[in-house]
Amino acid sequence: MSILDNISEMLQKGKAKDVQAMVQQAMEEGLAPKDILEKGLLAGMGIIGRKFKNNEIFVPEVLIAARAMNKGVEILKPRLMADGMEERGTVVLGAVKGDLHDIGKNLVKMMMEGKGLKVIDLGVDIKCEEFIRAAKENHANIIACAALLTTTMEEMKVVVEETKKAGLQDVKIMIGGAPVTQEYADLIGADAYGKDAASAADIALEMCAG
Amino acid sequence: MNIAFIGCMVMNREINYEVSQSKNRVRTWWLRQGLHDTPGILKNTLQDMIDRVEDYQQTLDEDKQFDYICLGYGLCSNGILGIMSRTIPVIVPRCDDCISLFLGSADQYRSLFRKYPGAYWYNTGWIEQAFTPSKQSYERHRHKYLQQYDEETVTYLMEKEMEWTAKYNYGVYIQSPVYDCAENESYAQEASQLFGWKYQKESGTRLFFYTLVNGPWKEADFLVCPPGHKICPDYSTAKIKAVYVQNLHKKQNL
Ligand code: B12
Repeated sequence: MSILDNISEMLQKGKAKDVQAMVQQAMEEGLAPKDILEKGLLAGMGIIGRKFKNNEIFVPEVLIAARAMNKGVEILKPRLMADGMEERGTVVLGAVKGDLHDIGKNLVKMMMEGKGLKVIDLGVDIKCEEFIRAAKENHANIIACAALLTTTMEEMKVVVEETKKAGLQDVKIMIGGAPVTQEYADLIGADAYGKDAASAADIALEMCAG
Repeated sequence: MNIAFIGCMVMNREINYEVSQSKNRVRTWWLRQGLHDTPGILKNTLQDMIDRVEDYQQTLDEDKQFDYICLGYGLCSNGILGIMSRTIPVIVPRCDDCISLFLGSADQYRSLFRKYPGAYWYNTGWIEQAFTPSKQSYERHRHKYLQQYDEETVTYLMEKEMEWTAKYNYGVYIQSPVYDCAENESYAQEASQLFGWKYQKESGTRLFFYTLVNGPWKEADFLVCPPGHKICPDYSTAKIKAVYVQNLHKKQNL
């Protein structure tokens, strides 16, 4: 098994120290930090996201995998910065008004940052105005909203409408969270839907590029 | 009228009470609370139960056959989406989750949701059947994790698992109209105090449960999903709608 597969494997098991050690080793062996990040850490985290969706693992496993990911990124970060990872776009991210779930949103943040996007994480229970203000201040390409409750999902529609009204035509709206679907995104006129953290990051990247 | 009720154990006291008083003959099938944590499993289990009720129907004398299947589920983790019966109409309450059922209506839930931003809801069903945040239950989790993970990981997990409590403002206890339990009330009170939440008490009503078992199922509050139709999301306050399924003979791929 290659060291990158090993990193992904250990990350999935939540072995933070092993991940740290192997990331270190991979760097010493001369692997590109970008490959370590994408083919090791992010690959592992992507699998975790999918396994959670398929009920193969539960929230605690997701949490310890996320910790292992953070530990690995900590080591990589100085090198990634030095290599001058170009900023590929800015995303304003938060859970909508009334919604306090943040585990999934935090994974989305992690994957987006991993792909080189700058993420302004507003946190949870975020009012529409706050999304818009942050998008203006940071010249964001994307506003990304999370909702885990069917009661708060409706708030996403408000964000779509108000963003248009605020004249931010160039800012794309992306939505996600367990009850959200592509069908709902189409219905409210959101620009994109992400079914899990990995695809959220890929789609965001595409939107920033295009 | 004969009714097959399939529901979540969280409402077993309320439903059993209505069943005992109902003119209808109601047979109940209970699924464990907490299936909503794994939406895929909830969906499969529910469909499986409906299939079994339909098979069972074949063995019943005509006067014992079910006229309706009533579901004791809201849009819990979207578990009811895609569900269908081939032969028996299915009744489904239009609501976000069981909290609406306990409060008596989806509107009441939505209005209290606004009145108490950042609320954690307690009631007898949740306390007896589910995980609810409290000193006792977090100690149990801690203990369980310790058998699986090292001390440092356990501390991290507990920290993560409890982090959210700092962001909440209210602990709201819904008093059951069929079972007044001082013990459960003080459980909710103590937990709210522990997490620094304002404690509030709201009265539940029998209305939703009563109607679920007895009818009439008004369009505004219930979906009557005809045989051969599946339950689909509606994305409005109606929440759900029935959609005709073609090629019924092919087993639906849920
Ligand atoms: C953990 C959890 C909690 C924790 C949250 C802890 C935290 N820090 O977030 C606690 C216990 C605090 C909690 C509280 C409540 N919860 Co809760 N919770 C859950 C649970 C079990 C898992 C959610 C989760 O973290 N999943 C793990 C992550 C990894 O998955 P995810 O969030 O789906 O994210 C993935 C994708 O959706 C996507 N994604 C996520 N966000 C975004 C954003 C964007 C932009 C994109 C593109 C993609 C994307 O990528 C992620 C990774 O791949 C769900 C059930 C379920 N299985 O979904 C119920 C659930 C969401 N909760 C529910 C309820 C009812 C509540 C409470 C009202 C309960 C109460 N008694 O008070 C409160 C609500 C508080 C509030 N106002 O927000 C219901 C909602 C029902 C409904 N129809 O609305 C659910 C469905 C369970 C149920 N009872 O049916 N909950």
